[in-house]
Amino acid sequence: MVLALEFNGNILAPAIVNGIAISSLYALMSIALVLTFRMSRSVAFVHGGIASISAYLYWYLAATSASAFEVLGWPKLPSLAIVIVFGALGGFVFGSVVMGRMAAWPRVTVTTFSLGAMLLVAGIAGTIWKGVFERVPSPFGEGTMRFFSMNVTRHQVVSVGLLVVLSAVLTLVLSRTRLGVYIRAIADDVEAGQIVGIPVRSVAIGVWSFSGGLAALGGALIVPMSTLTELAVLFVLMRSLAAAVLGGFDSLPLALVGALIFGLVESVVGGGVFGPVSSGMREVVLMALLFGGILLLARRRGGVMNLGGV
Amino acid sequence: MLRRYSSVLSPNVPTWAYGAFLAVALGWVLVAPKFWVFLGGAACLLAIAGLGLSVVVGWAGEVSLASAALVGTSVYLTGYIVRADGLDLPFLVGLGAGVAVATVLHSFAALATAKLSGIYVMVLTLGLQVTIERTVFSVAKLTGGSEGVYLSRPRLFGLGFDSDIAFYYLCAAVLAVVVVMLTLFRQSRHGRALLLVRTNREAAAAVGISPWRYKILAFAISGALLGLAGAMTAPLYRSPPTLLQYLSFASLFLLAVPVTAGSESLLAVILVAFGFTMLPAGLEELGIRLSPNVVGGLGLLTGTYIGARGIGGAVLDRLREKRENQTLAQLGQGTTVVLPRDDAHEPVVIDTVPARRPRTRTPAGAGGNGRRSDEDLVGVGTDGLAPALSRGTGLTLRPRPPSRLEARG
Repeated sequence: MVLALEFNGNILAPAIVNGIAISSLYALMSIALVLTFRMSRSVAFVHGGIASISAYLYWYLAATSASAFEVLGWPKLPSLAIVIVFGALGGFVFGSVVMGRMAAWPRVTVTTFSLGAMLLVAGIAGTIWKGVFERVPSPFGEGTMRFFSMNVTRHQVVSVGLLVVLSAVLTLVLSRTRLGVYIRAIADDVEAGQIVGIPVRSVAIGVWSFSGGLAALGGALIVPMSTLTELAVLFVLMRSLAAAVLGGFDSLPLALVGALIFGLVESVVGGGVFGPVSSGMREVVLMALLFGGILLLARRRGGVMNLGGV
Repeated sequence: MLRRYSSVLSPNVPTWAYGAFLAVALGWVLVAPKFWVFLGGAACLLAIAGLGLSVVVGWAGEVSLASAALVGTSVYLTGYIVRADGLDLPFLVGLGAGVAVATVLHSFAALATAKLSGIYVMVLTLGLQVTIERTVFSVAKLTGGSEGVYLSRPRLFGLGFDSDIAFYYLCAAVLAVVVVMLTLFRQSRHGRALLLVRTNREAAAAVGISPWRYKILAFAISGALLGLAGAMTAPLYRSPPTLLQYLSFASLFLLAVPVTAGSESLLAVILVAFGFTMLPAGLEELGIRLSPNVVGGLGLLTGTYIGARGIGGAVLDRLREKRENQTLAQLGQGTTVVLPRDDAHEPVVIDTVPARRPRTRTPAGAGGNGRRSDEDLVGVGTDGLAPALSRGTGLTLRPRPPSRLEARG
């Protein structure tokens, strides 16, 4: 397979816009992954499960028509809110287990536990709604907007906007408030945090709940861009994970940059700006990126934690 | 020679239990319905794949998430080589190719992540899984595309394995060979080195064992077994199964087998593999349709919660304790006995202590303050060991259970 080096400039701009929209969703999930990694030093695969079942749940609550399944057709924004609360609850439960009995367990074990939770949750969703292949309505309405003479959907615009607002709020909270200082202290050194009297467990469980809600939001916002299937959300988890890895699992800004890179490359290469490519080729390019990122990371091991600064 | 092979069997399990197990394992297919016999073959292959992963997960303390992709690659490659509209070569050639490719891919994954910590191994192997899904599995020539392709079951050494029962016996025989080889490997110099690397990387490096070389060895062995399972799966189904069986979630399902069973007992891996295959099918028979992912997820959760020794380890501990207590009762009170783990079956008396001397090691949860254990000691010293032993707090030196999946942080 040869990567033909042609260049289709006319589809570059739409591909970039699309890439930014997708990467905002990757970023949502990778923020959740990085935050929880800093709290419990394990990869929270469970967020993939939460996002997955949240996508199903949102579709079940908000869709007005479906081919073979019963749906409720409730108003969309309240449905989204319910889904986020549900995800936060999931994060709370899992966080309580991880920060309780498993607090001192080796991290590969905790990560495996997390994988199990993801498999179980995804299995439950797959058992209830077997073989779903559905279009999902956007919570923000279906319209499109003109933006520098390009059509973008409202869903894309609001998703990017949400991410920007969220990043700003997170930055403020982490750098300006007492809670932010607590979180950064725990992220740096759990034992030291405990010694100076930070309520480590409750702060960490709070962060877990927040991340769970974030994962649920990500899951529910992803499926309107594609189709709801069993593997749709898992795929996004993969990308977010890669983005978090590029950020070394300790830097939120780097994770955001990673998400942006993955979203853009996926959209630009996959969209055919450099000639038509198969999805396999796209995957190989992304895998090479991830691998390069990990090798880079191995070199700058021992770098400084910068959760707060942008 | 015979002694070496007999060491494959655990001394804690009575011989008749092995005999009964063998009889059941070979006999049940003669009375079971055809569909269940077919599932039995599938379970044997799942067990082979599970044993392969167990080498990486249990012995090397790493987690590989590319397993389903490797099994799938081997299934399709073997199918393509063997079937009439493919290369039409003998089955053993296809088997060799499947095993070789899976071994190379898995070793490559280990080589690439050799010096990274466990979490990055997980992320990268998951990346490998998705990449294989998108590249290898989209080659219609290999997978047969959307049209069904047919593959006959092999004839080996003049024996036909066309019926489900015969194929089950073939799978079971291969499984038995795998179990024996793995046990011998584990008792060998290299097996012990591998376990040392898992337990303490620095200590292993200090005595001249290269941690990353053994990590690659573990991944290679595991890849070979995953490839073997895949190559045998091709003729089991006759036509290649759908791609859905080898996507990312299937990797997690496969991972659940060794994690549930634990690293201690290979037999436990086999039993768990049978359970995981039969349970969803059995529930479906009862009208409860359950995604196998639910079973796998529950297995992963309980397996990690119990710890690295898993359910198999817990059972073995019980059996071991029983044997220790029997030996203690024979040798009399106040004797410290160390039982060898695997090889020789004779207990070794290393120390004889006066019965009234205070115990140095109070078992966890036995009260903690000295007063209670004094009362216990009076019991031990005067009216025999039985009460203390029945609580499992005898005078034996119990080996500390090995650390969970990974000792280093």
